Amino acid sequence: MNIIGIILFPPVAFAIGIFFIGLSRRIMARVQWRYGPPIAQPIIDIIKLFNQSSISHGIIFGLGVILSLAGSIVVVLFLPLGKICPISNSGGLLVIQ
Amino acid sequence: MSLQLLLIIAFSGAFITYILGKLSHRLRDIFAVFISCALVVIIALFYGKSVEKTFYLEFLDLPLFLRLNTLSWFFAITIAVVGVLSIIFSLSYIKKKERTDFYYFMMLLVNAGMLGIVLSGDLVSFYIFWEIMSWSTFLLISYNRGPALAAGMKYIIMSVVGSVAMLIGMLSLYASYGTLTISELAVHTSSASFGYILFLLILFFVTFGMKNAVLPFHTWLPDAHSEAPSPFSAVLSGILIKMGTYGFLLVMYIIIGLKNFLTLGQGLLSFHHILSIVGAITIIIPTFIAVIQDDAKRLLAWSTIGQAGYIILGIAYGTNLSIAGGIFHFFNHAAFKTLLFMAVGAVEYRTRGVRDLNSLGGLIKKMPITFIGALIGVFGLIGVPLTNGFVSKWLIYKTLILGGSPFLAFAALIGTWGTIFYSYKLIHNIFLGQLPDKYKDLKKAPFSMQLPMIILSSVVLLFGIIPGVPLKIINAIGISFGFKSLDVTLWGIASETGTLNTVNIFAAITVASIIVWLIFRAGRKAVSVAQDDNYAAGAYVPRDKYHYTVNFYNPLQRIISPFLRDFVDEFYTKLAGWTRNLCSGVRRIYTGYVGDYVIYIMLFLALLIFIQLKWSIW
Repeated sequence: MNIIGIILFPPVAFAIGIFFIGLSRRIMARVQWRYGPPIAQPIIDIIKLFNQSSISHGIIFGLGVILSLAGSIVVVLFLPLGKICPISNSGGLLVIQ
Repeated sequence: MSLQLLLIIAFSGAFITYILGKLSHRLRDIFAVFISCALVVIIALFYGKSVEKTFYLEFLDLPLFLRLNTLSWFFAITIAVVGVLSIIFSLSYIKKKERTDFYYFMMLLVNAGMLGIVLSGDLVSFYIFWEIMSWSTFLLISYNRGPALAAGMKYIIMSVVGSVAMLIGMLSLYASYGTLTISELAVHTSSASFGYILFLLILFFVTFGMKNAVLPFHTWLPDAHSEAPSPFSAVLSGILIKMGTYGFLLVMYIIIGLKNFLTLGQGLLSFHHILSIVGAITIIIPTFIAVIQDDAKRLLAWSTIGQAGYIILGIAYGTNLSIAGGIFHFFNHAAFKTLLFMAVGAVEYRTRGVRDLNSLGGLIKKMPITFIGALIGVFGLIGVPLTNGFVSKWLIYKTLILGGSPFLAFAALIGTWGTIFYSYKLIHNIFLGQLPDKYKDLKKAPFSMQLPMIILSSVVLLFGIIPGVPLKIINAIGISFGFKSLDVTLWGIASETGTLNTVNIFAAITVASIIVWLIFRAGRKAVSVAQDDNYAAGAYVPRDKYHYTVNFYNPLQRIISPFLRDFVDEFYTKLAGWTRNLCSGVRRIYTGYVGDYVIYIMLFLALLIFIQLKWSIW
């Protein structure tokens, strides 16, 4: 059960996050009397950004990007989703702080 | 091997080092490292043993004892390890300076004094070793002369005030019970009255609070830490001020006893609760003063006061989790603050004494090992998971939340946020950003400086991933105080409502980093460009130095600096001024004319005759 949770949690969190970003851009556009981008726009953006070449100022610069994403994924594992919380018994919410 | 022999080795080693220094400097260096290594080995051999009352001397009809228990073993091993690392670090740091024999002598003497403190089994020998430590510390703080002399003077005056408070406490204990042996005092005080225990606690609070830099008594620390030679700043911050912590533990939990201590007063007005609040204030204010410092060592010094607040908060709160957190934080702070002072010291050594954060930058390429050491030290300081600082802070937060003290927990959390502010400033201003031209051909730190940093970094990481090793010893200390045992495993702890498993966190972070790294590898590879090659949306990118963390916290500083005036220090300075005026006023009566003195004598005799005629009391 926990293993399934650990494997499923990051993709689920990713999907929810992406969905909410798309939805909020859409709602914002409607508030401003625009049509707005499609809900899948963030996914398109991600694919586009990964295809572009980027620049780096050194190892620490690259590590910063990797660690911030890795940190977010680990934080997701500690957040309770309803009653399920994969590795909550390893430290609880205080780890996130 | 007995305890006397250990102390004899420690003290005679210091003297022999001084004498050897007169013959050959090389021999002296080797001997100093050897003697401090030998102390580590001897103390490690004492692991798990407890020695009760080794009698060694009699003084004014008072027997002097040495004894060893788990608490003193834990402190002793930390002292010895930090001692040997600081000696190794000193080898190249102090080489080109003058009075090096004296320096090594004092370093070893401070270590020996601290070992004596934790091993002494009665308050008289405790006091003697305490004074040896205090005075040799004074000599080391003022080693650099100049402003260091004033810093040392400030330290020794406050230290003497603390010692006098301890002396009064000891005399009062002796007058009441006729003994100063710690184990006998523990029996006697269990039936002492409320007022008497409070009196004792306040006296010892002055003594140990002075050394531990608890808030009203902290003013000596920033000056002393920033002016002392860097290896000694590491000792000072890592273990010397923790002698105050040891004293607190000794008085509160061994002499006065857990039951008496926790029942002193009621609810919010109990002594341990007030001490916790003092600890919480000691966390917040110094942390935010540290944010606005520009001198690297001064910043670390203020941060030391803040971290000492966590230790006080932990040991004063008085549950088994908080005691474990407090003692473990003592150990962790010794590891990462020594590491940070050494990293700053290495930078100071290579740049010939530059400590101003705003004039450094970009040293990562020149001193990579020092950077990694500083980075790990900063992570420990903040309490990032996988460093030992995380475990001890987790214990403290957890116990505060479980114990229903949201404000104290909030203070601890705010302290951590402030820590992130100043740690970022420290690491970025020294190592990241742009390298100034004058440091173009800086060499990396010598090996004798890198070695202690590598050892301490691995300690920080190792005990962050398997904190069970020290926690097991700390748990034994807690049990000897009369607390309930904690459920300690190799990789964490199980409390009533939450468990900590650092190995799981370690695995999660490792796997997540690898996955992310693979994702980024799958994307297009980044092109490495020079630091000033930036996209500025068509605007001109300035070519000159643009180090954006210089004066980074100026807006914050404008907001908070009016609230952060050091009222206590101003008060002490005024007090010193008043005393000086009073004394120079008194001095006026010494005019130097014999006639004046004759008049004084005549006036005094006249007064005596007047008193006799009026009231006839003799």
